[in-house]
Amino acid sequence: MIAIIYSGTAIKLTNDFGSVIFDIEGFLIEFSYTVNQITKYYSYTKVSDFKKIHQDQYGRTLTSGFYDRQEFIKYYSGGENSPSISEMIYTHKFDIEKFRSVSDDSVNVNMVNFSVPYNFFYDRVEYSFAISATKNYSTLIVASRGTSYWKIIIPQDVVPEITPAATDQTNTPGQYFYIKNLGEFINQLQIDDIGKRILKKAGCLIVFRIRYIMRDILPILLANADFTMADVDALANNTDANLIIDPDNALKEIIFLIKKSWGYYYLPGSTLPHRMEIEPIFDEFSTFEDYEDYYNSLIAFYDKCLQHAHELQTWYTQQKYYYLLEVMSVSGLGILPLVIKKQLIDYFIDKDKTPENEEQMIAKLIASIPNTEADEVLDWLLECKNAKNTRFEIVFNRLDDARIERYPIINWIVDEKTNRMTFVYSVYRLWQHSKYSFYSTDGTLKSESFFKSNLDFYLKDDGTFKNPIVFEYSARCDELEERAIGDNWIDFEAKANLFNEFVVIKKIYHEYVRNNVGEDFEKPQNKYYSDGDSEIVPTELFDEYREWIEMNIHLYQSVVIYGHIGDDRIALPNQIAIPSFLFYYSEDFTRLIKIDAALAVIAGLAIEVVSFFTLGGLTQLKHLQYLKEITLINRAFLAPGVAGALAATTPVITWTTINLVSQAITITAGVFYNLGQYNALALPTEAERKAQQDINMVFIYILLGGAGASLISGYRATSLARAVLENTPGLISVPISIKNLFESLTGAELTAVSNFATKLQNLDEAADVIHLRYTTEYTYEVQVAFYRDFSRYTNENLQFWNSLNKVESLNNWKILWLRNLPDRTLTEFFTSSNMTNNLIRYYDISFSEEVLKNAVREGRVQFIKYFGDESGILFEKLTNSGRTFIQDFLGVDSAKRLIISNNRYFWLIDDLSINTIGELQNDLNKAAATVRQRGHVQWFVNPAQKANAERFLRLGQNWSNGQLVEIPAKEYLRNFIGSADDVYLSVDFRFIQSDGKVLSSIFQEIDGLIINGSTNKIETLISMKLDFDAHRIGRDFNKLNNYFKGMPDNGEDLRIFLASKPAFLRALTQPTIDQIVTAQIKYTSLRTGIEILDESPSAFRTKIKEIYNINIDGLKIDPPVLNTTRESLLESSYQSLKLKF
Amino acid sequence: MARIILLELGDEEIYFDFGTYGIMMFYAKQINSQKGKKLFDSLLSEYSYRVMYDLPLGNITYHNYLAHFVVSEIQEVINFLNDDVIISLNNENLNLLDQYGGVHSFIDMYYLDAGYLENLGLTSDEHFNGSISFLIQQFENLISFYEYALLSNETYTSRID
Repeated sequence: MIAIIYSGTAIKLTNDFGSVIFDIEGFLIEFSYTVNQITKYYSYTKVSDFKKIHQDQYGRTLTSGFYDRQEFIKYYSGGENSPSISEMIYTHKFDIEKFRSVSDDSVNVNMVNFSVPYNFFYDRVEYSFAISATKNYSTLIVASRGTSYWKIIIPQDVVPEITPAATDQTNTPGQYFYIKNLGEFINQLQIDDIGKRILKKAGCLIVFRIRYIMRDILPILLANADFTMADVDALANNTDANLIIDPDNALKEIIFLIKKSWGYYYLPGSTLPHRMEIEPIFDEFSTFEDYEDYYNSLIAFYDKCLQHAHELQTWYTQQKYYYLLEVMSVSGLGILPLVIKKQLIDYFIDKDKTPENEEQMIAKLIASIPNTEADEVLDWLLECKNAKNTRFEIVFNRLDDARIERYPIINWIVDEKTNRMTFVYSVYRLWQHSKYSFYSTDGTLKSESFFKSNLDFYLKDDGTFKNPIVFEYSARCDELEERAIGDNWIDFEAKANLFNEFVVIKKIYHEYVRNNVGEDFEKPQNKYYSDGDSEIVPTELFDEYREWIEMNIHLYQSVVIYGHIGDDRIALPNQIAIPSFLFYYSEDFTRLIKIDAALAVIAGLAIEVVSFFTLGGLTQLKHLQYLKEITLINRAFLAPGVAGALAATTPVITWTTINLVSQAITITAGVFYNLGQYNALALPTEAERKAQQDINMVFIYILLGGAGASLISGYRATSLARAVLENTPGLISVPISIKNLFESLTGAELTAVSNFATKLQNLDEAADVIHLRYTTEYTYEVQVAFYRDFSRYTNENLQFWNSLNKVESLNNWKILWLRNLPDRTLTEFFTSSNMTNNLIRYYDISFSEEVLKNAVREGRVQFIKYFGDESGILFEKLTNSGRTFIQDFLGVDSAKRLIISNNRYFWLIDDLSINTIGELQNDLNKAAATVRQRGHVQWFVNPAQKANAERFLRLGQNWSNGQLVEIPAKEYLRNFIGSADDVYLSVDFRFIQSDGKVLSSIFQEIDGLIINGSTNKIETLISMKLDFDAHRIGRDFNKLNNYFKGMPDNGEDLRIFLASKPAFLRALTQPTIDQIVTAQIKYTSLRTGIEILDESPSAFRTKIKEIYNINIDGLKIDPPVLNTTRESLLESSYQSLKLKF
Repeated sequence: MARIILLELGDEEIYFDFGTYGIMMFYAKQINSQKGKKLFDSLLSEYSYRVMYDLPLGNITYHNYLAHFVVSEIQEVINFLNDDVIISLNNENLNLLDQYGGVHSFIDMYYLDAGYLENLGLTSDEHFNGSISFLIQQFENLISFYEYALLSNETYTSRID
C-alpha cells in the first residue's frame, strides 16, 4: 500500500504497518508498526504540538514527523517517567524516510468530500494514480484570511470516484449536529461555492474533533470521578427541562450539557425535553470566524486536557472541576454552554469576596462568550443582580486593575491585560457584534439597531441632543484649546460612576478659584494665581471650585471621542464610535489604545467628504454616519413633497457655543436641502470643487459641534468657512443660504479678532511688542491664529504675557504656527529657540512626527527636553520607523523617563528594556560610588581620560560587570520559558554549623536552571557570561551531577561527603567541615523574585533528572544572544556612569 | 553580586571568594609590597595584566584567560608565601577581618595606599573570610596549585566569575 505524507513523499507501507489513519485531505497521519512482535502506534506530530519551550530551544533538531503516540502523551502530560525532549527526538520518532517508495506504484488517495451537496454530512472521494518516486505530492494552499492547509497534488486527468463514508453516518450525533448547525441553512447562504466548501469543511472538522474528545478526553475526566458516563447519560431522560446545577461542583452537568449540545442525546420524535431537539450553536447569521473560533475552542480544550491528563485522571471530582476551570484557556472555555457560564458568573459574584483566581475565572468566562451570544449576554449584564446594581456594574467593580501592583516583579505580567481590562475588552467585543452597535462588523451602517429604534436615548422631544455625545478629548488631555472662552469651557470627567444601565459622565461647565477674601477668579493655566495687577501669590491662598452637569448615557450607547490629534485643521474624529462604557473605563487615550489598536486609526480627509451627507462616507467617515441616523439630517435632504420631507424652516442642528463668542446658530432643513442640491452639481473648475469639499467639511464640523464638540469644531468650521468666502472663484455655484450661514460664522470672528487688539493694548508693557506685531505685521489669518491661541489668557496673567512679549518668543510661535504645531502655545517651546528647533527636527521626519503628534503634550515636552539635542546614531535610532523607542518613552511615567534619559545608550544601542535598565541602576550606582571613593571621577567626566575609564570597566576586577548580562537575561528568560515554568537564579549551597553560624559563600554556583512547571524537573541549565567564550557548560553540569545531586542533607554523611570533594575541602577546610551540621540550597525564583535560602538537598535532588545532554540541555546567554555585544554594553556603562557625576 | 577568582589548569581548579582574595592580597602586600605584587600579578590573566599596567595588548584579547605566568616569578612567590606570609599568619591570633575593624573599615584601609591593588575594585558586596586557619589553608592550596602548574609546565587560566 502506498500512502502520501505531509512532506509530499510517497511511502510504501509494508506488512509491518497496521491501523493506518488518513486525515480528511488524504494524508497519512497515524499508523502502527510492529517489530519483534511489539506494536507501537505513531501519530503525525507537528513542531507546534510540542511544548513551547522546546520549540524555541530545539528549533533545529526538532522537526515534524511521526512520533510514538503513547510516549508523546506522556511527554506532554508530564509526571513520573515522562520522556525528555531529547528522548522524544532521538528515540521515539519514527524514521519514515526509510520507507520512501522507489518504484512507480499506484496510490489510492481517499479524502473527505467537501463539495456538493453541502447540506449532506459528508461522503468521500477517491483518486487512483501511479506515482513517480521523484515527485513531491503536497502543496500548501493559503486561503484568504491567512488560513492555510496542505493538499495532495492530484495529477490532472485523474477521474474522481465518489464513495460513501467508511461507516454509515445516518442518525449519528455527528450528522445531527452538522445538519442542525450548518446543513439546514447552508444552501440558502448568499456565498459562493468556495465559501460553502470552506464552511462544510469547518463543520465536518468540528464534528471530527468532537469525536476525538469523546474518545480521548471524556475517559480522562471520568477516571476516579464519583459518577460514571451512565450517570451523565441518565440526565437526558429527566422529564424536567431545568437542570439543577451546583456551581461549586458541576462537572457532571458540564459533561452532560456539552454532550447534549453535540447531539448525543437527540432522538427525533422524542418528547423528553433534553432529547427532543438540539439547541444550535450556529445559525444562518454565523460567520466563518464563528465556526473557526468554536473549532479552535475544541482544539484548545482537547490539548489542555491532554496536557493535564495526569492531574485530571488522579484527582477527585470537585478538584477536577476546579482544576479544569482554572487551567482552561479562554478558548478552551468556549465549549461550555452559555447557561453554565452564566450560572458560574452569578455564583462568583454572589460571594462576598473574590479572590484573585476567581477574578481571573470571571474574566476568562466572559472572554470565552462567543459573538453569537452577544445580544443575550449584553442584556443579561444589564439586568440588576440585586435591587440596585447591574451585573455589569458588579463585575466591573469586582474585578480590578490593581493586580499588577501586588506582584513583586512588575514586568512579569505587565504586558498582560488586567482582569478588568479583559472584562471590558470582552464586553466591547460582544458590543461590536450586538444589536446595540449602529454598525455591522464590516463597518457598514445597519438598517436596524437598538438605538435607532430608541432614539430617545439620544434626543429630546424637540429633536435636539439630550447630551453631548461627541467628547472633545483635547478639552481634557492638554491638547490644543483646552480652555475655552469666558466661563463656558467644556471638560468631561470620564471616570464618574455607573447608575443602573447608565454611565454618569460629568461635564464641567464652570471652573474657577476663590481667594481668601471670597473673590472669584478665572482658573489660570499655571500654578500661580495672580491677585490683581502683578503680585504672584502661591496656590494655597486659593480654593478651586468646579461646577458640573451630570449626564446619564446608556452603557451601550455610541459616543465619539474627538480631537486627540493636534491641530491639523482638516482632521476628523480620529476614533470610531465607541460604547460609553469604554469611555467610562478609559481614563486616558493610551488605555483606549490598549483595548483596541483600531481606535487609533487616524481619519484623513478624503474626497468622500462631498458625498458624506447625501450618500454616506464609505471609509474614513463611516463611523460618523450614525450621527445622521439620529438627527433629522437624512430627512432634510428629501425634496419638498416627498414623504418624510421637512419644512424648510425646521431646525435640524442647533449649536450654542458656535465660536469665539457665545452665539446660537440654528441650521434649518432648508440649508441642508440646498447643500444636497449643491452637492449634486458636477462642478467645472478645480476651485469650485475645492470649495464644495470645504463647504461639506464645515457642515461635518457643525454636525460634530451640535453633538457636543463645540470647541475645536467651532474653530475649524469658522476657519474653513472664511477660506471658502475668501476664495472667490470657488463661490460661483454656492447657494446663497450657505453663503449667509458662512458669513454669520465669520462675522462673529472678525469682531472678536479686532476686540483682541484692544485687550493687548490695555496690557501696556506686558504686551507692547505683541501689540505692535498684531496690529502692524500680522495678516488677518495670523491674527486669527494668534487670537485662537492666546485669547484665553486673562489680563491678570502677567507672568505669561511677559514671557510671550519678546521678539524671540513671537518668532518661535510663528515658526511653530507655520508648521501647524499645537505646541506653539507652550512657554517651554516659544520661549526657547533651541526647544523649538529641536521639535521641528523631530517633526521633519514623518515617523517621529506621527508618534509625537499623537502623544499627550506633557510627554512630548519631556521628550524634547531630554532628547531634543540628540544627533548621530542615537537620533537615527529614535527616528527609525521600525522601532518604538519614542512610543515606549511616552508610555512610561516621569521617573522612568528620567532613567531612560540617563541611560540612553543602554536603551537605544543595547536595546535593553526600561525595566531592565531600572534593575541595572543598583549596580551602576555602586560602581559610581567606587569611582568616587577612589577619586577617579575625572576619568569619566573628562573626555580626554576616557581610556582610563574604559580600563576600569573592562577589568572584571573592577566592578561586577557580569550583571550586565545577568540582569538583561532575566527578561530574556521570562519570554523564553513556558507560562508555568520558572527559573532558579544563582543556585548555590549554604552550610550551617553546630553553633548556628551560616557559611554563605560562593561554593558551586550555577547561574540558572529552568524548572518545568508541570513536571517540576530541571530541564535546562543556564550559563550567563559577558564574554561568549567564557561559558563552561560542562563544568556546570558537573556541579549539578556531582555536588547538587549527591549532597546529603546533614550529619556525618554530609561531613564525609564534603571532605571527600577537593573543591569543598579547599573552599571550607577540614576544621570548618567538622563543624557543619546541615546543608541547604539557596536560589532566587525568577517568577516571584523571592530568594529561597533553605531548601534541603534531598528535596532539590528530586528535581534533577537522570540524564542530561550537554549539547541540548544547556542554554548559553551572552551579549550576542541578547542582540548586543560586550563592547557595546561596556560603552553604555561608561555613558551612564558619566551622567552620575 | 559577589564574585570569585577562579584558577584552572586541566581538571585542577582553585577559587577564592573575591573578598577573601582581597584580604590575602592586602596581607601579603603589608609584609612585602614588591613580592606581594608578584603574587598579585600571577593571579591576573595576561589580558588583565596588560590592561592594568597599560602595556601593549598585541594579539591578546579578553577571550584569552591564560594567566600572567612567569616561571621564575612563580617560584619566588611560592618561597614568599612559605617563608614569610604563612609564617607571619601563624603568629596572628585574631581573625584578620576583626583586626581590621570589619569589612567596611578593611575596605577603607585597603584603598588608603592601594598601589597595585587599586584595580581590584573591592566592595562590601563580596564574601570575606578572615579566619587565620582558613587563610593559611588557602595560601597552602594556592602553593599546591602553583606547584602543579610548574610540574605540568603549563599556564593556568584566571578568570573572575
